[in-house]
Amino acid sequence: MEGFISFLLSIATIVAIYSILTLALNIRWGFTGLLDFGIAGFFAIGAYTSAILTSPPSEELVFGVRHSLGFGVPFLGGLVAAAAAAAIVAYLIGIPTLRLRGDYLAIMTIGLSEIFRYVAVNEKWLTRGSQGIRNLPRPFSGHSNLLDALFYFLLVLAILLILYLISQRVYNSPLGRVLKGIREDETVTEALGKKIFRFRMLAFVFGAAYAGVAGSLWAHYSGSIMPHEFVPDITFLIWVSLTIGGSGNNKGAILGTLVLIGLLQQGTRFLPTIEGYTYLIPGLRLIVIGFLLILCLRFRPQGLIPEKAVSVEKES
Amino acid sequence: MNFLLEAKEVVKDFGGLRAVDHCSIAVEKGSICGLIGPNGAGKTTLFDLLTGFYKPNSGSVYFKEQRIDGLDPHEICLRGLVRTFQIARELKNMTLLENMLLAPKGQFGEHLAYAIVQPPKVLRRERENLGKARQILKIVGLNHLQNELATNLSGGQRKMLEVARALMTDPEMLLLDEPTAGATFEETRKLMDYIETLRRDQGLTFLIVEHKMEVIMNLCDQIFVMNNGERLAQGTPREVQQNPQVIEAYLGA
Repeated sequence: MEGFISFLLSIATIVAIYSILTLALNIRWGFTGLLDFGIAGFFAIGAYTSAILTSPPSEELVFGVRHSLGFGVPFLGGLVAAAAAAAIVAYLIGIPTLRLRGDYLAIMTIGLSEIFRYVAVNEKWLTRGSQGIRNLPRPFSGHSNLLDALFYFLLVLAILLILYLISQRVYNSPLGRVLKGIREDETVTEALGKKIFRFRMLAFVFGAAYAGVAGSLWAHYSGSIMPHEFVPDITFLIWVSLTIGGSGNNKGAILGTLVLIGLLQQGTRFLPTIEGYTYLIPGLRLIVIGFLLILCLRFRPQGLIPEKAVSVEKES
Repeated sequence: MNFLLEAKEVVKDFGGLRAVDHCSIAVEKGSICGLIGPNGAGKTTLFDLLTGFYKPNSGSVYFKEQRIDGLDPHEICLRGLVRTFQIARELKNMTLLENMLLAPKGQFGEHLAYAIVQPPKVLRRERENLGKARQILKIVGLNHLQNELATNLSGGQRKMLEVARALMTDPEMLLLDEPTAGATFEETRKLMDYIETLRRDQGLTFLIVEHKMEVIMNLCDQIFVMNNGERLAQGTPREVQQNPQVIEAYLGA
């Protein structure tokens, strides 16, 4: 029983963390129409920033390279720094790339997210390379395993809720209107006096901060991070989640993540393996995800919870 | 004489094609001017040059006696010179009201912190804009559709929304690119009356590209005729109608 509960808690925590990533993509793609394939990169930046800052100071040789980082910053500091670091990197990257349109931005962002990963593999003095950073502290720990997991889940859930509410508020604000305007027709929005670059940058940086928070939460959930956890597959899972859930709709983003990551990606992990077919389940999982995406695009392209027309009526 | 909008000898080349060729126009404040010419004469390109969507190869554009060629489109809009598009470009997956409320300038709520906190001044501005949006939609006859997605509008309604939305920016001058294309007789009539009213009551200035001669001839004080990228003629509707060059190039005898 306890095993089952802790299994559910672990799935719920993973879903909540990924939901933050989906919200990040929703801000960039769902609201603003930025064709962004680099979410995993900002996820990684958040995870590594938080991991490096919160690790206790230490010195050791990793693959013959002296690794002497670790600052022993408390969890909350790591979380804020993760968001800030992802946002700053996004800003710097945004300056040259956000003038690019559609597909160019997609190629740039996927390339950059891979570059971040290779930096994590190769800059051993900073990231301990493929050995990864281990023994990351988790807040509210030190009780029983189950209680620790429960507390951490509640923390992640609270942060998800706050970020959801913020995103929801932005969506319904004049700012959200401009972002949607850019998504619908950049030229018109510019002709109406909006500085497109500024708003594209804002959405890009804002989304990056969300992804950074998710990265930090992920690092302290799993307790150790390694570069190969941040492959572009994550970006694509998030894209599928958002598409299935309903692009442009924050609730849809979370529901899509629940369906995709919760039921398919994580839920199937604990199905009994069939003797002699160990590879069957992971393989099937991808097939099912692909099939689900095709069904969704064919029969419900607007997603499970489509974007609603904003009625301004009630505010007046 | 000081003009509100003045283009001096503007030139625009696309590769080997000279779309606008040393074209000069000058629009007086508070006037309604027409810009006519056969298809491909360079009217829309001239609009693009006036509003910053293209930079002229040579020549200059002045608005309120300040040089504006080289400015970005959004900067030109903020100075009070606003255009509409030949093919209506409504923001499809947004409601009519959202389309309208996007346009006003200087909205506090466009800043991230204000968008999240939404202090009273954001809400107050929002209410003011909303009242104005409803009023304009009512005049152009779209108020019953205000919470409808713009994608559901008919062709003529889209053109109306296009003009209504441009008005939400508080312009001093509007450049309308075929505002009545696809509009019904009724809609055309309504829009013409509205343009007259706006000029009379708010002192707005207009430059209008239009193919419907009855609109141009009845509405405009001054008409510019373009052909092959050049300004062929200029004058009152009467003068232009009698100009032999214009008759040959455009009105077709």
